[in-house]
Amino acid sequence: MKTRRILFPVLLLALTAGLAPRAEAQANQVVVVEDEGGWKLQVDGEDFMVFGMNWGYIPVGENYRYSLWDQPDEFIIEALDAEMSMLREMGVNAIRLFSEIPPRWVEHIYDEYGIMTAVNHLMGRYGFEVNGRFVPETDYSDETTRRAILADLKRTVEAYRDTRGVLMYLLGNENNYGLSWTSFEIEDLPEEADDPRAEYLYTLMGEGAALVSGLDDRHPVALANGDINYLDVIARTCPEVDIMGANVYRGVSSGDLFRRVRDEMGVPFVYTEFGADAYDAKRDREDDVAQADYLLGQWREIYEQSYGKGGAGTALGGFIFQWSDGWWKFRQEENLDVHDTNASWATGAYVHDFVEGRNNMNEEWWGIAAKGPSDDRGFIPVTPRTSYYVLQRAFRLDPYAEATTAEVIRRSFGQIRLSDYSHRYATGRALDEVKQLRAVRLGDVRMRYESSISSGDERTERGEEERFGHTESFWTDLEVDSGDLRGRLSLHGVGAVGQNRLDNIFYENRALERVVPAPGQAPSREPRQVVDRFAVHAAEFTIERPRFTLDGFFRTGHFHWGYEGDFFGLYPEANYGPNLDTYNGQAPNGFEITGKGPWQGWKVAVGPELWWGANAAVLAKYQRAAGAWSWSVIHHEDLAEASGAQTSFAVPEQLNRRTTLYFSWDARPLTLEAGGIFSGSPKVGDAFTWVRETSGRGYLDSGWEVIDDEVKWGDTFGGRVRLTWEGAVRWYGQGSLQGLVADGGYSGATLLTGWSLKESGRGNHWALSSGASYRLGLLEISPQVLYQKPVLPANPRIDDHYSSRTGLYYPAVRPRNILDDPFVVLDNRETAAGELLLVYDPTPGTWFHTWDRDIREDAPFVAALDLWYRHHPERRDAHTFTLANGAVVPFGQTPPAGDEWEAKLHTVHNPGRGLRLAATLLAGEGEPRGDDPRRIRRYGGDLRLWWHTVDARTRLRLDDWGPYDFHRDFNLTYPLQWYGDVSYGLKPAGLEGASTRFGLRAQVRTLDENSPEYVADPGDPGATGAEVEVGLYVHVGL
Amino acid sequence: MRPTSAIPLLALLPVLLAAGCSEPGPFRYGSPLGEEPLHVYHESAGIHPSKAVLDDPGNPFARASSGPETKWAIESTGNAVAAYYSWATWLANEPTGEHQYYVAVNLGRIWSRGLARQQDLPAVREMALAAYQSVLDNFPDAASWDATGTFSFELVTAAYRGILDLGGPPAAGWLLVQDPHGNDKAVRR
Repeated sequence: MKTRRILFPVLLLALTAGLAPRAEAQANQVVVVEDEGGWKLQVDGEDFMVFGMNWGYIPVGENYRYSLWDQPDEFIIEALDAEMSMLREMGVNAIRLFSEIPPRWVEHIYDEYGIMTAVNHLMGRYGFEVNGRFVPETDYSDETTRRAILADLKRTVEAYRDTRGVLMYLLGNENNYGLSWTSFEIEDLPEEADDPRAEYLYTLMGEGAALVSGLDDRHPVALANGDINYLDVIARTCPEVDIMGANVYRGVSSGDLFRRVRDEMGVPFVYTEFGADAYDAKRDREDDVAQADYLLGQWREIYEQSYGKGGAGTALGGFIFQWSDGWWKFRQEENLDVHDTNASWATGAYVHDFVEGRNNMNEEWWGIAAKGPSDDRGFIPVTPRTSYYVLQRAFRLDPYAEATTAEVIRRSFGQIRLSDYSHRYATGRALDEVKQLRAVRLGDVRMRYESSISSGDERTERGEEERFGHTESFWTDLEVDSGDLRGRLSLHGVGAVGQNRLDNIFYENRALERVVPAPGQAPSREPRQVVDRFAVHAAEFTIERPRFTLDGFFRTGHFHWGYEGDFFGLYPEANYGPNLDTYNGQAPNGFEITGKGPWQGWKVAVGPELWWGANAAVLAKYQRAAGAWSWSVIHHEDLAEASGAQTSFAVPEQLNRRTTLYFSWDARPLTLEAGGIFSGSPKVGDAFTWVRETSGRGYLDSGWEVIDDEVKWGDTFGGRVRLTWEGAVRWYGQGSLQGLVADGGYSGATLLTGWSLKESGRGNHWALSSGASYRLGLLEISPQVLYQKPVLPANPRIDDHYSSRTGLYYPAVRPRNILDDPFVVLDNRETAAGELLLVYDPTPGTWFHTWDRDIREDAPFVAALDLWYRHHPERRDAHTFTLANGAVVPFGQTPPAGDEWEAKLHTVHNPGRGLRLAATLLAGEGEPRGDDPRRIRRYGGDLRLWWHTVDARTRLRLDDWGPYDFHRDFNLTYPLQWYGDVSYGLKPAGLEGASTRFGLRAQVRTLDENSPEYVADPGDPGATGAEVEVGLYVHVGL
Repeated sequence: MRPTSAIPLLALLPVLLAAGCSEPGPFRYGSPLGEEPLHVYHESAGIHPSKAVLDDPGNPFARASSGPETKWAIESTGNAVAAYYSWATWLANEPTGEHQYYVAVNLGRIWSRGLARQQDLPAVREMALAAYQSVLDNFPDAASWDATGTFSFELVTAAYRGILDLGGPPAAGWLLVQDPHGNDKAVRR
């Protein structure tokens, strides 16, 4: 190989780094021995043929400026382990490196892999710094330059001479070519010329060799000449050179080289570079087999010309050029990530692709191993070419064994058939390509075909006419997995959308344009354009870096921080199940960054809608633990107000700013937790109205005094204390006080057991709660009590009044709502509540309260009965509802105060023989979210059955709200709702019944005056209507 | 921070909360509807679909709309500014042609009687024209009903006339015709 441009300053810096001698080092004794058989190298007394490799580590996209030794130690160790292990397996016992490698890494490579290093001083090959100035073209006749080079060489030898693993010193790198070149790029070989300058060069080399020999008598010194040009000059001027070394590119044979070195210099020879490229310039394709053919021939010649084989006896081995492809070499500063196939010089010695007048040497294809783009952490993936395996086989022949004669060498090399090894590289490349294909792959394809027929009777707006509809949609998941980056993109497409469904709000409706009705007209939908039928259904990714993990999510989900110091529920869980699709919610949408290493304890979440109904916000959390103590601080800052809502479940509230501080002292069985919250500061100064009862007539004879007030700073603070005891009886007691606008959020964390009752996260309340859990045999008994009361009560509705007599206007008082008022009374209303949770679970290892208990529970029978009662002595403020256009509107009135209760029994059965059952029975009484005063007492049950691949489920509801949020908003109920569904799948169904299934479903419901789309009969006011739907579906999951 | 260093903060909590609960604001009583001239807050306030009137600091009904009967009482006081706010608040909360029409009527009164700041009067006239035009564009089927729920009169013709009364250009796409009884009627071209 001719020249390769190496940035001199980099080398110079490297040379000066880490060169402190190691007094305790045990350097190897490397000698050249000579007798009648020729020359051979011995390391610590053992014969040593140089099975060498020119090794370097430059990732794709980098060039000569990259230095492995500038990377962190852990990176270097991992990189060396990957590469040196492969070299050792091949049989390589030495590498050639420029003297930028710190001695400690020379020792590491030797100690860990038994591979020695030839330390190469470039002797000004690519310029040199003289008197503090870098001179790009070294003038070897200049005495100052010569002294500077020798001084530097001296420092190098002093740095390495006591280093374990040093094999020899190499001087220069085909510096003779530099005598007539001015370009650093590879060009055609020059004719021998410039003898006067060569004289200067080689006398310097001779002085250098003498300097090395004088400083270090344990390691030989060799040249790294360009072929054996100027051999006569070298012989005369370099008597101290122990070994003639040269970069030689003569094809399969070097001809008389070995003999000439013996005859003209009387020293052995080592190739400092040799080999063949793996690209066929004539056919314009990779040709790893031809490369292997050349290398096999070259090594055969080395063996034959080595000690005692009857040849020249001068061959000591060689350093193959090179280990892996250099993607940077053509143009060196550009196209660094392109594997150029440009051939930059020509030689007829490589006959297989030589064409007269055309270049055939492809600089970027000399690797024994093909190199691929770096992985996410910067490591180079390499795939050994055929040469690797061929030489691995060839190197098994011990060149210095007594039995290794010229005939044995001929026979041994002759038995190596390239075709036996070429498939290995082909396989390796194929695996690489498969791996790349797997990096981005089709993860999941699901198709859903549904058709149904529905009808009603004369008491329904649907009427008796049978309506037929069908819906087709599909999901395609693209997955990316390239080590540190994992991601998934789920695309959804819609075909037809059935408009006959009884439950007519579902995900596929997003493909239809919602038409906002004119006053008095019914809502309708029209098909969107085709392009709108495709949408991103969900996306998520995770990037792992040493100092952080970055998680991105869009319509997928994230967990809450309730177990990480979020005492007030600022960052709620965002897993919404099928509801998200039903209403086409676009949340959660954002990123979460989790610190690692020095950033351990930090977490930041930012996004336009981190949870459903959130404003664009950023949250940052820092958590620490030390012994029994742990503490955390969380700040939440809303950045921009969200607009509109898909459903009343998730309505954006006013912009807010919140900070919490939390401490925990864990002295099990006792744990003390305390926290403070500062929230709602943007609302300070906001006006609000509140009322209090009076014994007098009050405002407009309402019995209430009405007070106009505004939010003060003190209203923004709150605090909470909790004690937990986890002994035989597990118990907790908690007290909270939160100012008017000191809003936290709903805490998703489970406290002791799976209770339903929880204290409100809103501000404007104080609360006391306590619960205990005791296990009596297989039965867990868990009672809980809660009392909470708002600091200021809900507002009643007092209509306004204008007195024409006095000319005075009395403004109305209305219930507060989250849109117009700084605080409200909703779930923080006055509540005195009790709960009793009984769980019979013979296998508590599978905790009953997990969300997927119906599938995971392993006991033959498990049951939980949850009874709770909430006494509400006062009314609440107003909820909101959503209009068809997404606008959010508050109700103007609230229902009278009333108690709520619920009894729910849930069981899971595993009778065996592939059968599993999950059942729920419930009864309860509740109030609507809107303003209707009618209270609802409802009953129902669910049954789910899995039997091998059969999945059946049914649901019955009596006098219950319909399935959608607006049913509860407007208190719309059905006397009876029944659903049934049975399906058969190719595989057992999970909770969601995924994979390929086909099934039959049916739905029946009756309507009365409280049901939507009910048509009253004036002659029979009590008559009920009925609607029915029967459908078939096929879900195909790949 | 050492864990113990937060204890003083927690100790301060009751003090801060107490500060929040102290000194309630004034009791509410009836008050005369203001006679202040109108300060135009935003030129879209009172023109559907704008809800800017709800943010107008001069709107006495911004936090609680007038009642369904009170709005007529206020209309009958002759206080055009108060009536404008009352109807505009209704319009923002419940967009109907009737609410839009009475917004326009009262804006016209404010302009003609000079009940706005002098510098705001040209803007008030433009707002009145826009409000009438909004009746035609957004509520072409609008009608007004009397207290008994009986149809009183359809509003587009009145809105058309209102534009003419203000000296505005005839509404694009609309013209005035006479029905068989000789009554004027605004119809779409």
